[in-house]
Amino acid sequence: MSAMKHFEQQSYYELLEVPVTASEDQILDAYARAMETYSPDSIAVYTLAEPEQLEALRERLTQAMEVLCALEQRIEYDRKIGVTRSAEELARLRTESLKRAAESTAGSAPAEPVAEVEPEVQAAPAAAEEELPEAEVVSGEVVVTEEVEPEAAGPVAEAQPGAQELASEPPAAVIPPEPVPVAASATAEAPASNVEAPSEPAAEPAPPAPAEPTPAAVPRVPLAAKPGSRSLTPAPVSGLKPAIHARPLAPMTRHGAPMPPPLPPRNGARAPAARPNGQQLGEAPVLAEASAIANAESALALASAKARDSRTRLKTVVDIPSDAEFNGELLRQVREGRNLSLQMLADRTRISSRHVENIEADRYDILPASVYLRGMLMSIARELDLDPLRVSKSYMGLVASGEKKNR
Amino acid sequence: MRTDPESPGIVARNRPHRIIAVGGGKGGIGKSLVSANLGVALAHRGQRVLLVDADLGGANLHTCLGVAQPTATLSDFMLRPKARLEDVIVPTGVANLSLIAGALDVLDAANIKYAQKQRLLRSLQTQSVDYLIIDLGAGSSFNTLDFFIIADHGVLVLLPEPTSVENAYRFIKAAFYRRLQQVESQYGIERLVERALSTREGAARTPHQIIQHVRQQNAALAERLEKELAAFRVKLVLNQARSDGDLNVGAAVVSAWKKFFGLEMDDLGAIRYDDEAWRAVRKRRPIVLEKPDSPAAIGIQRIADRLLALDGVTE
Repeated sequence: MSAMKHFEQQSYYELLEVPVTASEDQILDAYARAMETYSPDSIAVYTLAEPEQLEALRERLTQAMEVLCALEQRIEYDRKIGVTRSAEELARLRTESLKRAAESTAGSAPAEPVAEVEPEVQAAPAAAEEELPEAEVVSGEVVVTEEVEPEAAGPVAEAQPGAQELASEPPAAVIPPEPVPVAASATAEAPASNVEAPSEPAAEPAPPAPAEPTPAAVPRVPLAAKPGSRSLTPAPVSGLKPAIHARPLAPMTRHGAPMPPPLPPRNGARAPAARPNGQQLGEAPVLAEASAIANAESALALASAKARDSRTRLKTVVDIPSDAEFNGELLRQVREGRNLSLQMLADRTRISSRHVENIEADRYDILPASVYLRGMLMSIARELDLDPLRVSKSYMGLVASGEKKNR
Repeated sequence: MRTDPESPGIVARNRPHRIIAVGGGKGGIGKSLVSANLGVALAHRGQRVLLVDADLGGANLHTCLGVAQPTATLSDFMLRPKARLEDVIVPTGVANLSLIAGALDVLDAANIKYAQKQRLLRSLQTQSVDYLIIDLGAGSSFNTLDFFIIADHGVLVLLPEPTSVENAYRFIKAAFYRRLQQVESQYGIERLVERALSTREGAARTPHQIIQHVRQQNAALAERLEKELAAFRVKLVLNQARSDGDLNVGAAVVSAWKKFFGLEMDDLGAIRYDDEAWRAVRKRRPIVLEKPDSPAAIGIQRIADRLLALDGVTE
């Protein structure tokens, strides 16, 4: 029967059309391709499948990707379907998974430092610093990048990144409905904290901290870096967008306020120190304030620029703080940094420009359903040379918290 | 499609090495262009090729090849019971490549009778050439499908456009069910299949569902039927790819067909949209000859190579 299996009967590997030996990267590639092939407006399925069938398939694909990209789950799944692996192969998968975890969480003080979630924004710089490195290490060991079960979402408690905890952290990310930990306006952020103190790009490209004495400023514009350049070091400034890696304000102003502190930061968004601080929490969208914050932030960011340089970056070239929250604004800036017009991006990803525009404008309420959206985000991320999983999780988190708020 | 030598089908001794049928449902998608150029490309690779214009209602393969008014056509064969197919084969000016031109007269050739069609099919299957390429007309009528399903390589031409995709799926599904009808009579399972097809959703059934149904009655038969139907493996050619994205449409269709219909398909490759292509048509010259270095010609050459590789033919 194997020859005629329908997708309902296909294994995760068959669904994604990858060999059981596939690496995580291959799986993600395959997933992105599949999401394109099975997007609602894909020509390949025209008249072949009903919209509900397509949707069901996309859900299965996402599930498949999520399980196969979380090594422990994958191993469990393999056991279920009778895939056996040699010790060497397992070792290879583990190594890959480690590497990936390290790449995508590097520097982002993986979740756990949640401790800092505490309202007192002014996390002691020192503490933050200390924690960070450790967290990184841990993240390295952890295999799981994402998890299907939501369970662990809540308890922040022990900051200490034990592998297990890490495992539990991701769930939050996957499950959209969780409110996002919001980008923190790092404002108060201790300059010292390595946490990439975001400088605020936000709507008005706030001129980088006026206050700042700036030599440091310069080196920080990596975003503008040429698309191709793969160097891990920040690219030379192109002067384009000074504050790019900053964590955009938008999300915060929009959804930030209502954040329940105990939520572990979602993966792209986890900035230990970067939590919204008390004061800001309440008063969301005040532009003036936002830009003031932005200024302050960028000043801080500048100060910490140096420290940042030495950190591991996203594998993506771009110098985006590893704890950045990928909202539409940030995506737009990365795109512009790559000299891509909106239309070009739309063409390349084959996503309608209207959707791209809405995504970039963070118009969550008129975006396509999350099954489609996730695939679109991954395509966009890929095209922008960003980590697709991270971007989609981060953005989906924002969307989810936006929805919650509206409710 | 007829790949299993064990199958109780037609097994002719003296027959073409391989039969390629080029269809696609929709008109104007380049079936004749693909047939003609594929013929030239294979002939250039040393294969003896016979092109047959089976577009019974709108023949113009001869024009694609620059053969003016063919001295003999398929209708000469059809109308004269004693005529042999060999009598209507005309040269094309290309070494190794000959042609049976389509019926030019308005004799309603598209509506040939069953017996005539059988005679033509049998005659085609006894031509001893390396490749017999049948250029099909538009539409999904039985007269078209029956040529498609006798082929070793059912080539489906597709444009990256919804209209073409729609017709293509309709065409292959129709071909599949036509094939199923043939097979079922060979296996004596008409009633089983009929029931499988007629229950509720009817013809929306996938091969998988049909076999499941048959299996409930007779597992051994289901086994054989499955093998037979799994051999229904269409080969896809994407024509007029205008963007890099279009180049992936073939692969996407292969993937989708497998997931929703449960059958395999092969992606033979894409042919770039190319102004040289229509210029060549206006000159009535195959683009493979006229502009061998154009993107479209290169695409066709690759497809020819892939086919030869599939057949294990080495030059």
